[in-house]
Amino acid sequence: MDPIIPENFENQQISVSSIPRVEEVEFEPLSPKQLVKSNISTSISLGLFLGIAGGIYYFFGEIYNGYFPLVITLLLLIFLWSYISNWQWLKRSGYAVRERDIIFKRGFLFEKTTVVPFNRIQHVSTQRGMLDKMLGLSTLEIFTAGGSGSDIAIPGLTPELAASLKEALSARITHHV
Amino acid sequence: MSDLDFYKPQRQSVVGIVLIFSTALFQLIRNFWVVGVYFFVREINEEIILYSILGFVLILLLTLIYSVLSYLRFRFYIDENKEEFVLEKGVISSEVVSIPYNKIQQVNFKRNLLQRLIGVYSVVIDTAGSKDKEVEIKALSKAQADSLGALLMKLTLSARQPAQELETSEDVSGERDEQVPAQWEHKLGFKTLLKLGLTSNYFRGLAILLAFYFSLREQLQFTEEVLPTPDFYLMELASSVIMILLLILVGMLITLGETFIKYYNLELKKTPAGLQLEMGLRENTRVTLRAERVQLLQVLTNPIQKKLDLYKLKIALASSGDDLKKDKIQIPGIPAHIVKKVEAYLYTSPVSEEKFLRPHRLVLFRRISRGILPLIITSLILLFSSFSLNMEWVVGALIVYLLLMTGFQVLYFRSLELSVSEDFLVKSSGVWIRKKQIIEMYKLQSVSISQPLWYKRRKLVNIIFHTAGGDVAFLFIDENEAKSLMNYLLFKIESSKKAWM
Repeated sequence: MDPIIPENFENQQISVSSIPRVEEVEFEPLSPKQLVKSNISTSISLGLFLGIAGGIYYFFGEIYNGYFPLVITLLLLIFLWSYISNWQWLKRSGYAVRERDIIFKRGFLFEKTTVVPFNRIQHVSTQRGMLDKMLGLSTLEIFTAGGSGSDIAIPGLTPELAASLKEALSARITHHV
Repeated sequence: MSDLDFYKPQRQSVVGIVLIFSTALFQLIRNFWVVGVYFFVREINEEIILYSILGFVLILLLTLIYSVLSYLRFRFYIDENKEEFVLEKGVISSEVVSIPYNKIQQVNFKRNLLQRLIGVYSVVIDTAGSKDKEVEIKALSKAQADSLGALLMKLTLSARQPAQELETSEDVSGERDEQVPAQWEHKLGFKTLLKLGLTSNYFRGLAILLAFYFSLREQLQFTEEVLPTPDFYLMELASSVIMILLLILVGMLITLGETFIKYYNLELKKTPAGLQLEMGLRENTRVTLRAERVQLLQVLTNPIQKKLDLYKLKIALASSGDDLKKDKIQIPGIPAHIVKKVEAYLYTSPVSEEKFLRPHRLVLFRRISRGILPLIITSLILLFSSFSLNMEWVVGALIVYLLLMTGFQVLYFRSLELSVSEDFLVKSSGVWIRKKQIIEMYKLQSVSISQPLWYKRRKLVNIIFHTAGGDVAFLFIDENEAKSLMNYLLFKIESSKKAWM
């Protein structure tokens, strides 16, 4: 809760040009291991699809004979695109912590930058899946009251970094309710 | 106040058993009616009838026992030491829900038809941010409901007082006396309801009827062997026109009825505790709105209703989870000066519209190309199907659709506007139904800017304002303008000390 301190209340005019700018920050990159992680996931699904295609070919070969090379080429093209976009996604994504907010930029085809002010964060948590544990990664999740559109999850952090970020953010959350 | 003592465990009104019983029975029937049908379909002999009756009686008995138990186990009270509202329930497993005063967002009353029949009220306690978002006590007598509601509101307000700050300071001071009359009130009279029903959008009612009409017409159609004479065409035309007029009339009546049922006896009151809204014929709702809870305000009108001075307010409240629709409160038929009064209550400074941002022309291009998409799909279907169609008609319909759609999109594009004043964002949009979405800047939760790869060359972005009552997006604006707006909004949020909820 906020104490009301009228004597400290100031309301000076702010010149618009002096407001800090989001576009001037330098983004911290995500760990390259995140690329390994997404490529592993992509490879697993590629293997699955190839297996299905192979299975169909094996059992119903006579009927689908002609299509098989076409299907395989298409699959490989799609997955080649996935690998490229994994790589581009990682290259273009990053986060930055300022004094009063955290900025997360992500995306390749659809780039999205979300800024969450500390005084609007509801809670912060870290999350690790199986692959994360194997690769030594962690995801920092930041929740607001604005619903899924305004929550952010920053993947590809080392567990220590995620934990210290979580601590730092938690300390800065100012609760009004 | 009455001598009801909520500091000791209380039960619901005894007639509540009826409510629990019928709800449970209804659910049983809904889940198991298929079994009943099965018995009907099978050949019936006396033995089966006997067993089913016995079984049915047994089920009734069990349900009754369950209802009584659930009534007895359902208890609630206020724990003064821990400063929380406690609810105990559960027949087989028991559950205790406790809500600290300061987590209570608001207390509402609801009644459905059955509750109205047995004369009880539902009291719904809305909580902030937690997983189990609301607690409902389904059967309280009017006296119980009223005093519990008043007591909880009082406790909540006093617990939250330090966080209330400027916006409700005057309300808190007036809150000691509970009999304070409303500062202002607005009632929706019969005439306004009538006007509202007649000028509302009744395309929905019409669409159902239209489908009905076409199937009917097919039945009544003349045989094609009769050689059409000019007279015949004329008659056909006349009957069509009469039919259409009739349909519009029926559509109107349906909408009118709907309006009366939903908004009958609508009453909007400003009391010290907040805005109080009561309405509805079938399901009577009573809601108390407090300014802090309101996250997003929409003001809607159409040209006819504007002439009649009727505006509709949609108020989005802070909600947990993504079910934003559910938490939207609609208040139709409000004149402009009441809208101003509501705004004056909700906001500390008057809502102003100043610097306007407009989207790039590309948004028009995109909307038109999306409008053409269904056209392409239907023509593809027609092309590959064996329908023999009169080409002239097809081309005619095509041209009419294209003209109407393009015209609509141009008007829509022109209506799009984002105003940025010192404290408010106001997005205007809509061709027939004009919509204004008002966001007070400090209530924003976060801001996003998104940019698909193909916007980059033109330096365009989409900006999304996330509030606790839903997102508002404004598409295709200049990158630099969006970024400076974002910076300004962040400054407003981060420098604000006011509680957003």
